[in-house]
Amino acid sequence: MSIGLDNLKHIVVLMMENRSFDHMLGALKMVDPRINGLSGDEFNPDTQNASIKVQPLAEYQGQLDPDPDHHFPGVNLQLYDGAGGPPAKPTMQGFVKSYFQKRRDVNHSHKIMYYFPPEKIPILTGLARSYAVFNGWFSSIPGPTLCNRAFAHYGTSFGEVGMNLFYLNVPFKSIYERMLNAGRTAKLYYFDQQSSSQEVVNLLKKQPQLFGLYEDFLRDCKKNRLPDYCFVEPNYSDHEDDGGGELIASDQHPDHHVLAGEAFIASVYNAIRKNPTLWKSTLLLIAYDEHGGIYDHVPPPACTPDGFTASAEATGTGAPFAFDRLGVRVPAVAISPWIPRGTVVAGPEDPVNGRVFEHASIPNTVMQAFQIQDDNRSPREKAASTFLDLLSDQMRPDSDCPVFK
Amino acid sequence: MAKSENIIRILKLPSDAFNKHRPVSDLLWTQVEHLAAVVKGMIDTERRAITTEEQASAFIKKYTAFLHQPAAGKKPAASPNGTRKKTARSSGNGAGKKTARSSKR
Repeated sequence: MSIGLDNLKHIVVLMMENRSFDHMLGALKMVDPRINGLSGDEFNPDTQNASIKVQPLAEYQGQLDPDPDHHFPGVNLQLYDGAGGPPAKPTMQGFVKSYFQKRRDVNHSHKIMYYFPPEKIPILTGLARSYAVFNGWFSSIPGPTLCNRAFAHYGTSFGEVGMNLFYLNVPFKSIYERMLNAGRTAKLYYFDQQSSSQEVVNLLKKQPQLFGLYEDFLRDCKKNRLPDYCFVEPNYSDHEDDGGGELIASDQHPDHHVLAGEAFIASVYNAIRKNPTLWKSTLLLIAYDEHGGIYDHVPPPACTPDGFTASAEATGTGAPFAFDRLGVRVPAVAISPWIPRGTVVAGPEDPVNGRVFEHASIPNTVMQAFQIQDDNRSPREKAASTFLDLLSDQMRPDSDCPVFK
Repeated sequence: MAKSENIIRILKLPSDAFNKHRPVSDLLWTQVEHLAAVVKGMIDTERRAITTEEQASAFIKKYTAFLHQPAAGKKPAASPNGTRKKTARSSGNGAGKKTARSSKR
């Protein structure tokens, strides 16, 4: 066991919304070639068969409107470009054609290939360069938000591939329940009541005591009351608080302003970073739930099936889905002073040392960290890669760890 | 104290980034529908559990207050018939048991 792992007392996960790895971090390849990002030659055909290359022209807001398709059939088109399907390897050539369907505007459809230069999103890229960036973190299924987030909470989505989630008589408990049953502490912090949690139907309704607000998270960080494991949700909407003040959406879901999400990421990081006790004993993971329909160049790999099947009717593609392949790659950064600067966790591009991660890696890592024995979990979760090995024996000095202001 | 090279500036948001009138996204709409379904289920569960006048009046009070905020917290008007004191009543079903009484309307 490393000294960093020995010191670990808290794991915090912040899950953002709907941006692909290449869109947010792809430009870092030019700064660090170990990062499996963009060379600039990646392209997709548009509806007129023109080759549309990736370009560093992503804008903070107003560009990805209407919202790109990220439901199961739409993602299927993005992966396979309408030709073939599993078990063939995805071609990753259907993103522009998929986005064209939203507005029937050829020029507008090209914007799905745009990505951010690092200086436009200094918080996320700064964290990726300062700590550990995952080349191979994929969304858990090639579909939308709720079923992907379910993998982070339960290690499975119980056969769901859409947005209608009412789990009845589920065979596996959430990671929060497992933590509590093992005498540990766990919490989900949502931003405020107007934003609420995405886990409304199941966790919020059945176990409201698991929840807190973001102001509670900040207070708990300050007062050393952070639970062993917690999950933080950003603000999902532009709305006013009770005093009439403007609260801007911070989830980075298109078309919310990306800089609001940067500020929120900075806020979560700073809350931990500024408390020395917490800083040396906390592992923070920032991950995105799914790619939002935005381009990424890495074909999602196959994975251990989780024992459920979605029908052809449910998938909308004419074929059932056995939860045996992952969704599109998303940004994921692990943060701790025990992680060496500039760590790049190799992904499928490295056939020898590469590892594949997905959202089921989260509950599996938490189980491992707190040594909770419970075999009643989905096969996907039990097989998921964990990331505690990123914690080394050396704690970096404060002078080597960024602060955001 | 953080050195200047460790400080990464958080870029400022433009003032027009906030738009509460933006059309609702699929994600938010789903959240709305889930909450609506949960609340409807909760109300149905409460409703089905009602068997007594007290329970019915508590339910009615709760949702009247939800519909009409100024009514919440105000004291009820004095009854023109005066308020009856609680007394033990004999009942044909057994001494001391409360029985449902029909009221003249």
